[in-house]
Amino acid sequence: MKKISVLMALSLAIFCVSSCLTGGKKDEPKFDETFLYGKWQSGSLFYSYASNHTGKTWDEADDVTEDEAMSFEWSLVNAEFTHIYVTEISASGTKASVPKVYTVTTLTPDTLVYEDDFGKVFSFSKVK
Amino acid sequence: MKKWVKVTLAIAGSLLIIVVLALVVVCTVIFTPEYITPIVKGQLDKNLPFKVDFSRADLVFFRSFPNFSVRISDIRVGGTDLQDCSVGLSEVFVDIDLMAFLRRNEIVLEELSISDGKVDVDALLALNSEGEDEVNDVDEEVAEELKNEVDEEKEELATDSGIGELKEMVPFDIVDIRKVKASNLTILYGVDSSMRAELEGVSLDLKLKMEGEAVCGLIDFKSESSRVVLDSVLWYESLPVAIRVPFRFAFDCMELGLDMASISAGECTLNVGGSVKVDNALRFDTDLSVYVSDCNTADVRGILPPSLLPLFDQYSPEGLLNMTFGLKGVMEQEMLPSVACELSYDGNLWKSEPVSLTIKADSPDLNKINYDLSLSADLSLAKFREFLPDNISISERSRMSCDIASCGSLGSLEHFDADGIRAKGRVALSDCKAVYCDTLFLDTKALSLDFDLNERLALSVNFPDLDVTMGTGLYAVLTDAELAVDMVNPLSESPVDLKCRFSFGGVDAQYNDISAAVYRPAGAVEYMEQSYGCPTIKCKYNSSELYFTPDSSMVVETGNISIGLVSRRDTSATSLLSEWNPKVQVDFKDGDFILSQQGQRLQIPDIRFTYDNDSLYLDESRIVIGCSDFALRGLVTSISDFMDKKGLLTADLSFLSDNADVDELLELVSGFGTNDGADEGIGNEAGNGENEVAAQMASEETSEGGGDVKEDDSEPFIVPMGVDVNLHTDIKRAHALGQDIENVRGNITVKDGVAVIRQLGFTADAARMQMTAMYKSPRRNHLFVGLDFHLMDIQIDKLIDMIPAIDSVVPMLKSFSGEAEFHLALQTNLDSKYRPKKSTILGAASIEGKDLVVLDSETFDTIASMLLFSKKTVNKIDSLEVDVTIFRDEVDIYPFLIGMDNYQVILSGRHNLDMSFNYHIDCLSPVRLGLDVKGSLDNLKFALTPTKYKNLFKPERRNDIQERTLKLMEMINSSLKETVVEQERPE
Repeated sequence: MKKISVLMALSLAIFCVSSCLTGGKKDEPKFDETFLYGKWQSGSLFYSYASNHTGKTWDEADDVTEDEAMSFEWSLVNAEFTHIYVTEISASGTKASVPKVYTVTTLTPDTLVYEDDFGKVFSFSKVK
Repeated sequence: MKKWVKVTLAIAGSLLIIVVLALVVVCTVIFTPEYITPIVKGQLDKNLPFKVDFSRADLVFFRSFPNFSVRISDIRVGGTDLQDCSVGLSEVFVDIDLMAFLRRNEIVLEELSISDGKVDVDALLALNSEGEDEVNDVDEEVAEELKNEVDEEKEELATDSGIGELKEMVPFDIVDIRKVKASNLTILYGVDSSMRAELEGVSLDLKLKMEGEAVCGLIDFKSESSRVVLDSVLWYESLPVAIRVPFRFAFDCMELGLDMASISAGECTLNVGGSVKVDNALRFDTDLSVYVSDCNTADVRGILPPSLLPLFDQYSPEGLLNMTFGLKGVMEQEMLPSVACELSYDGNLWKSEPVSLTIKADSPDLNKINYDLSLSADLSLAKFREFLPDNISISERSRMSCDIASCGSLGSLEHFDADGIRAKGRVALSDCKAVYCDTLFLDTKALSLDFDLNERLALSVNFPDLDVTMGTGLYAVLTDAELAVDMVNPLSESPVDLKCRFSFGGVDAQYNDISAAVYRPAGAVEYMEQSYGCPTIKCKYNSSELYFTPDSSMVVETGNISIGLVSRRDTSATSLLSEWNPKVQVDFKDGDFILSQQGQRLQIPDIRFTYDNDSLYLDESRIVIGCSDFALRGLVTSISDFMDKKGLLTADLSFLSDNADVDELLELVSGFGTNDGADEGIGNEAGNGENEVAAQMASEETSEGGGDVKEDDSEPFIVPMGVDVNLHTDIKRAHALGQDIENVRGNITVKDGVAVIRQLGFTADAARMQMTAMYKSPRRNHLFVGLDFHLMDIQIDKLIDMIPAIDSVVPMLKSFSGEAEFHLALQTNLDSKYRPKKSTILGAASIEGKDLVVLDSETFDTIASMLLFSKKTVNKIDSLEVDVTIFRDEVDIYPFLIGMDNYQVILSGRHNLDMSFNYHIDCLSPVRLGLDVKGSLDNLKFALTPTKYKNLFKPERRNDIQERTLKLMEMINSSLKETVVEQERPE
């Protein structure tokens, strides 16, 4: 009997929460991707975005230079900011892909802020 | 006494007295000097071209009884004073048998004696010339007639009949010159100022008799003291000279014979014998022999020209010289007789068998004058010290013997023309000890050199032992040596063609702490300047044993070494290696290398390889290093490009091993070629350019790695540069990264600083594995490792034991038990201590499993409790398929469905490498519930939330996020699994 009551309470709670969360789909903001072009810095961490939708990232704290940076392909659709990294090695020729998806919250010529699905926020400043 | 006898004696005595008285009267009263002197003077003036003065002429009877003779005293020619005149003689005595002349038409000169005076030949010839001029002036016509007569006579002599009629020119039956004697004369001779000779104490005895067709005689000339000046240089002073010539001449055959004629200068005597025959064509048929016997070489010095004397300032040869010189054959304008010379010497320099030299000439042309020489000698090298450079010294007992024969033409000898010179012989040294510059010592008991020079030159050197010492450091012993060279005559202009063979019983050498010994080395070298149009070298080498210790910590021992080389030169090539393009075959057995005092050991039981056309083909090689044994076979190419730093050294090798300690082997090849690469930029020119920073390694690490070095001196593995090596491995048992693995099969590629292990399949305790890995070392503190790793049929607990790091990537794995399939692609950069640089970690993983058992744990119990799992639920998962990405410190677990009993749960979330979590669990059945699990293992927080992926696996009901998530999962999963290569399961 106790289990049934707990179950009912949980179901009610989930229903309420899900109703709130799925109550309406807002229009996603759009950003000008040209603001992305260039080099961005957050502490020792750098990202660089090129107009051909390639980019690279490196962390000088790990003694990595820009020439040794990791490359990736990026895309910005509305606020959905996707980085796809590809490993260098492959036995068959097909290389493993590692996607990272973020949601841009701020994109100005000087500031870039985005977050991932787990709520981790990344904030960068444009390197002049 | 009877009366008639007494009467006869009285009559005879009276007649004799009357005759004597009559002669006395004739000589003293009738033919007085006053009567005779004008007559003689008149005759002399009439018959001689110059004026002769003398004090008186006497008719002498008793001295020349029974003949009358004439004595002329105080003769002067060309002056009245003895010092100034050309000829000055105190007395000339002439005794002629007039009766023989008158009765028998014979010329019998009983005596002609000249004494006490001087003859200046030069002045006398000058007077003679003046007298002829005067005669010419007086009666040119007469002179012309005389000249014509003389010319006619010469022409007659030159004709065929003239020679034969020479006898008829002497209109006497007998010419008998019984005594011509000169004594105590001084003869002067000078040709302008370049030559002046003075002979003092000259005496001459001459006898001659012509009878019938023969003339025989004896000339005996002596000079007590001779002085010769040539070009103002005094050649000889007080040199006694003697000439004795017994001769005979036959008119019928025009042959001059000499019997033991001798010419002496000082103590040296030259003997001449033989004959010279002249035919009607004025050809001289000679058969002469000249010999010197037992001439003391010390005496020869007395007759040598002054220019040669300095040669003997330091050394005076002492010994007896014997020489025979033969001249035989016809001599005419275009032909010379052959000359044979035999020389022997026995003295303090050397002792020789007779040296024979024959010269045969068909014409004056040197090229047609042939010689034949044979020489045998035995000499003490020590005696020749003075002839050797000052920095070479020879021991007293050193001896050299030679036996040499040579023939050819003098022209060839003069021009070193190979076609005309032949030589053969042997030179042997015994008990020879020599020192050069006080640093190089050579010692041999016996050494022989044989040579044969004809169209080719053959040399052979043999010695049973040779000790060589250089300074105080180098010492070598060579035993039982046989060296042979066969080559085209070096004097010829033919292309060089050389063959050389050598063999030793052994070579033992030591240089300071380095020692080496080779037993029975033997080989051959062949060089042909023109073989198929290009220079070619062929070499062979073989030795049975070799022992080498380069220092106290290293020892090298080998068994049989066999090397063969063929090389053809390509002059158009640009590098040394490609220019000669050698083909080398090496067979090496039983090599044993002790590399350090710690006993590191490299064994090469067998290796055979061929180098040809810039490629090295390993036929066979068995190598044992430490705990590893392996065999390498295959091909190495582009060696010249690698050496010229123009390209990569490429290799395609199979690596077969029963036991391989991978860590140990990697340490051996670590850093190969990096210095060159750093300095010369090989990677930049020929490689992929990624190694540009490799050139900075050395300098960079001195600063950044300084602190590390203090912590740990071990260096990271640096991938060899400048090489492109592909290894096909087949290893039965390997030890790598602390793991024992078996049946390792796959390819390992090392290309200019990048090492790739491609599709390496192996089995371990945990599973069948397949791995492709990449390792780069662009710089010491920025290494790269990439892994494409597939584990099939894996036991999960074994997987975690084998790769502990997997627990960090997929921590929930340790909650499962059973067999799974694991795919992982992971890469990161490492620092010099192999610590990952988190900012560079990138990877993806996929785990698939069926019938897994969920192990009991507090976490599972908590989750099961909150998701209302039944206690009766069996902890068994029907299927599991998890996709994971790793980016820096973030490990994202994409949603995956777990079916357990009648429950279906979707798990997803993230955990970080610091083991903090953010997971979400959706329970789809029997009830729909969402659960967030956050925090760390020590402090997990659970919270119920709405479901996120309830429609993920229902295509018609997915939302955008679920659609995107599914696409990302497919991208990850497919890219991972496509890297798997089907492989045969090892037996």
